Amino acid sequence: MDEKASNEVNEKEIICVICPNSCRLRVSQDPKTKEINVEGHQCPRGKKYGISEYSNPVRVLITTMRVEKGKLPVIPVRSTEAIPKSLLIEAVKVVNDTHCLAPIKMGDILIDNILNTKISVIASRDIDVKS
Amino acid sequence: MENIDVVIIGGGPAGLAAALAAYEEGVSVAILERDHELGGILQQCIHNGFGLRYFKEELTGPEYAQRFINKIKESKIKVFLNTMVMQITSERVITTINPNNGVVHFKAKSIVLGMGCRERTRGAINIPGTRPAGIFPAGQAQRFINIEGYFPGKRVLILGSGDIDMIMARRCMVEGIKVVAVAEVLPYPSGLKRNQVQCLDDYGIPLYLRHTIIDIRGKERVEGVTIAAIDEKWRPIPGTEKTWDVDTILFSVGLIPENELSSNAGCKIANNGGPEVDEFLQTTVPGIFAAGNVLQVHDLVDFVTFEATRAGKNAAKYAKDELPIKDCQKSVIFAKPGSDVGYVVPERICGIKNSKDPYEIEFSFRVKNPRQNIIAEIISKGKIIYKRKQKFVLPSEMIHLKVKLNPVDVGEELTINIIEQDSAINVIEKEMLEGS
Amino acid sequence: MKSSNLYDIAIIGAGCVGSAIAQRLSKYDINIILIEKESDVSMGATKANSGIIHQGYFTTKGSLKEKLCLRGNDLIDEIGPKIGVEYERIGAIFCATNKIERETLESEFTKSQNRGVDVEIITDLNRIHVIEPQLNDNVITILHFPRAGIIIPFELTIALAEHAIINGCELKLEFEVGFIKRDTENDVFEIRSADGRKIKAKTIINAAGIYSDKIARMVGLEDFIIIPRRGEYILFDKDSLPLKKIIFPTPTPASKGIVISKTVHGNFFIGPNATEIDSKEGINTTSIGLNEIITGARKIIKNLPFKKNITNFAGIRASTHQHDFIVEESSIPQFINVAGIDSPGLSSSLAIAELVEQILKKNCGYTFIKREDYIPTRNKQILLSDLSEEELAKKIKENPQWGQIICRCEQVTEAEIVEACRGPIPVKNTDMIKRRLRPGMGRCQGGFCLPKVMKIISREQDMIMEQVTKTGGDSFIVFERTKHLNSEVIEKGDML
Ligand SMILES: Cc1cc2nc3c(=O)[nH]c(=O)nc-3n(C[C@H](O)[C@H](O)[C@H](O)COP(=O)(O)OP(=O)(O)OC[C@H]3O[C@@H](n4cnc5c(N)ncnc54)[C@H](O)[C@@H]3O)c2cc1C
Ligand SMILES: Cc1cc2nc3c(=O)[nH]c(=O)nc-3n(C[C@H](O)[C@H](O)[C@H](O)COP(=O)(O)OP(=O)(O)OC[C@H]3O[C@@H](n4cnc5c(N)ncnc54)[C@H](O)[C@@H]3O)c2cc1C
Ligand code: SF4
Repeated sequence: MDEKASNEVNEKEIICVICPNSCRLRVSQDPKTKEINVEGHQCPRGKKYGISEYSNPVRVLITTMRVEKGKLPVIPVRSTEAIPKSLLIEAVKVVNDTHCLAPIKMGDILIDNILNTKISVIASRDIDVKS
Repeated sequence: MENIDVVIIGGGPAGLAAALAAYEEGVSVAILERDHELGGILQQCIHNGFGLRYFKEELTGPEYAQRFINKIKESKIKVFLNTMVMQITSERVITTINPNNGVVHFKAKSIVLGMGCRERTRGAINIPGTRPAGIFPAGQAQRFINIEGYFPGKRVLILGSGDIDMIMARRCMVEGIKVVAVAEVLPYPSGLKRNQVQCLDDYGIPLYLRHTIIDIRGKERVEGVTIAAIDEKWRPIPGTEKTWDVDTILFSVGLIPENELSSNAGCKIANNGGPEVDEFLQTTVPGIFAAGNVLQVHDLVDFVTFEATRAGKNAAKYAKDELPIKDCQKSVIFAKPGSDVGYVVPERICGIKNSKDPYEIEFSFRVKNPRQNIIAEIISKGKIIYKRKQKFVLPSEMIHLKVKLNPVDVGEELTINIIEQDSAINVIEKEMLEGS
Repeated sequence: MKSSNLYDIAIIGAGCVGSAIAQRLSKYDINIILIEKESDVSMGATKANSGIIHQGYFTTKGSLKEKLCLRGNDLIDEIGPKIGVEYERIGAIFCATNKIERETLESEFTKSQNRGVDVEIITDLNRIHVIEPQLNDNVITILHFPRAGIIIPFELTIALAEHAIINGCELKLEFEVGFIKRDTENDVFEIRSADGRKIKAKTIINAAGIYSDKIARMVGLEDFIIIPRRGEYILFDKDSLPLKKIIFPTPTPASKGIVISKTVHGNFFIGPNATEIDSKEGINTTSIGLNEIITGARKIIKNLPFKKNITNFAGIRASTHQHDFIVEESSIPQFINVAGIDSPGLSSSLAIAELVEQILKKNCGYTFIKREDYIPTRNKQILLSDLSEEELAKKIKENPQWGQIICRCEQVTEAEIVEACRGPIPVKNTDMIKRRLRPGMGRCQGGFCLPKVMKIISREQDMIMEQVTKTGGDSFIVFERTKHLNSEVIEKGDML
């Protein structure tokens, strides 16, 4: 349903998820001025969302990382900020190839500057050493 | 027997918030948790989207829990892990078992129930077919992937489009498990739009509404699944079948409050599966309070925290003999679900009859159907005594009404209705209209 | 004790019938082997049936079914307590809602009296509803059999098999008999599995349920065929309907009809229907079948608590054209058929074993001598629910695993699971645990305890998590780890 290309090559339909209204936004870019045009929103927040979702959709990276000597075998991790959507799967691979050593505290940086995004991957919780 | 002012059953977000709130009232508090750690179900909900209301920032489930756990660690609240509560009596004697200490009893002045809920199961929806391995409740698959670190499968069909299902669909895709489709019996997705967009659409997972599983193949492990569209009587429509080779089926058909302990203690259980409570969140057994999913299944943990904070505070007051209404059986007014309302919490209001001033009550409830441009109204003695307009209501989003009612307006019972109004309103923010 | 894989008696099929025979014969100083293709005993018809100990009602006069059912009903009092099996004689009632049905019940009443069975016919509506308050108001007459009862079929079968094993019977699981060679020179049978393993025995008892015709054919016998007839069920949560009796409609010539009954563990079920099917593996449930049983049940009782429904399942009856049990030495010497054991086969199983013993003595030349070291009883495994608080406290002190609850719905501790793993039949998959201790059989169907049960099995049986199955074979539960360490050491289930 999303990103359905319509007649105009660069128009996208995006559902606004900011509030339950779920407006269907039609977002397009003027080929000359590069200006992004949003239609179908009912409020300014929707316009802002439409522009960012069109030009650079981002998502928070959520996965787990293997822990050595931990009370649990894996630890939940996340990126400190949302990263470009297109990098998500690549980033998960990087996390899968990494492991960390218990004890770990919530917020510990486990991977710095993942895929040169200047964004880190941090621990979502504490994990103690396996007794 | 250990004597403690307030004992909290369950160390999930409800238990943690209730414990901290009670502790702030200056009483002794203990948390009894059967798992090896605190945090409850949040420890497996590793996605983000928690805490926007309570912390005003977006956290993952474990982060939300950890913040509370850290506060508990700084306090003098006693935490008993690996401690299963086996029984609670109406005199508030609690029997527990624990591998290190054996059978231990606690005597509490008041109790907060925070046992959470469990998932309904496959049989609960009567899916025909054989019973091979590879059919998991969504929450169990979530546990395998996020906590145990194992793949429960490699190709999956998901039945149900609640938030847990959609979030699991995304978790699967991120970890390299192919989700072939999500099937939902209702004509609309039962979770939030945001999750539909970010969990299904983002990954190109098709959503089949008004569809159900009609066949599961495979003797030892699931090998395939067939779904079909259903008619208005929920019968499969021939010719609409779609079949996939999959090794796994995840399903979720809702959560049920975990209330064996409560009903054995004598608490009356309401129709939604949780104990019947009054405006102090006190059950029908004096001194036993309830909050979180054990009371009503919440969609946002932030509201669990708010609710449990009230329950913890009231339990502490009860322990100190400061609760304005001690006998929850007297001068009760009943709150009833009216048109299009599934259930109402609290079901009983004890303090309003004897109150001289306008009386504040916090109701929460769910609608039965998604609707637009509605009015939520409270009726008593045949008159509308409160109403509020709202642009959208969804069964997946709990509605909270904080109201001030005039005692003279209220009869023996009051009813909450949801009615559709014709004129569209362009206001998004919730709006309050006093009186009628 | 045994020489070169040669047994006196090989019993093929470890359902309630094969296991009852093994239990009966294990008293004697002979070598017996019980052979089963599945990963546990009780996986055929015995796994999924109504679990009712019938009282000979609605059987044909003079049939084996009549005789063995009545005898089996009595024998349970003798054997049940010795091997630690629970059953309850809650009584069965048949309900008539019109005149024709009433006449059917009246004639069965007379027949049952002639059999010397305890029976009562009741037409007083008040009494009917005192006896079973859940009945619909349109029930006008009931036929009451007070000595009918309920039992958990796999509990009985596990107990029988374990008692046999304690007394020296060998149990061979995951051995699917694919071929039988008769060595007439040495008077022995060579029994071969599909993958080439061999067992030799002087006598074969064919108790292979729906496949008993296939086994018979392996030695050239073609005198009966098994017609699979499926019965489907819906199971409801504990205490969701306070039933007092096993409730039947008035039977038709085709079937006993949809039963509504509680189980020994306090759940209750409705079912079975009866559908002839093509495949002997057709243990799936169907929408049509489930609707059929719901409709059937609604005719007799008032309130079906649909929200409390926890699972559905199906079983297959091994019916024949003869419509009676076949328990006899076949035309091949030393080859005994125990076939066509459909309902009331469970009720009859102990009597079938007694009859087989007689056949072995009379026709097959066995003069049985009782073993000197015979252990007459089998103790039921101690469960948490059997213990008082003081006893439990003591147990936890001795073994902290008693204080670790694994299944929260059914309150099963780690100690119980460990003990089940180490029992006479080693437990290697999660369904086996479920059948022995019933974790996961309750409300959450294993939702929370499954990973923990898997960890305990993997630790006890020295397997990795990926090897633990649901029901043996390839029924694996998890595949691989989501995240690997570079130098992965196999950690068994990362014990907590
Ligand atoms: C599978 C699943 C997924 C969910 N996903 C989301 C989500 O993505 N986002 C969201 O906002 N909400 C989600 N929820 C809802 C979420 O559970 C609630 O918001 C919140 O966690 C409920 O908190 P609670 O403390 O009431 O219950 P829980 O978190 O369930 O905590 C209950 C605690 O009580 C303990 N307990 C229970 N019985 C006993 C006993 N007899 N003795 C001792 N201890 C006991 C349990 O071990 C547990 O730790 C999900 C719920 C489930 C079941
Ligand atoms: C729906 C239904 C309801 C019923 N209700 C009742 C009731 O209420 N009361 C009652 O008394 N009876 C009832 N019955 C009948 C009862 O269940 C059966 O008569 C009884 O279980 C038969 O036991 P069995 O040991 O002969 O067969 P099974 O339990 O089928 O055992 C046969 C065993 O042989 C094994 N086997 C097959 N082929 C091979 C091979 N090649 N190699 C090795 N092993 C093999 C199978 O795996 C199986 O374990 C019911 C039956 C059904 C289907
Ligand atoms: S555009 Fe505005 S009104 Fe429409 S969904 Fe987005 S936030 Fe809501």
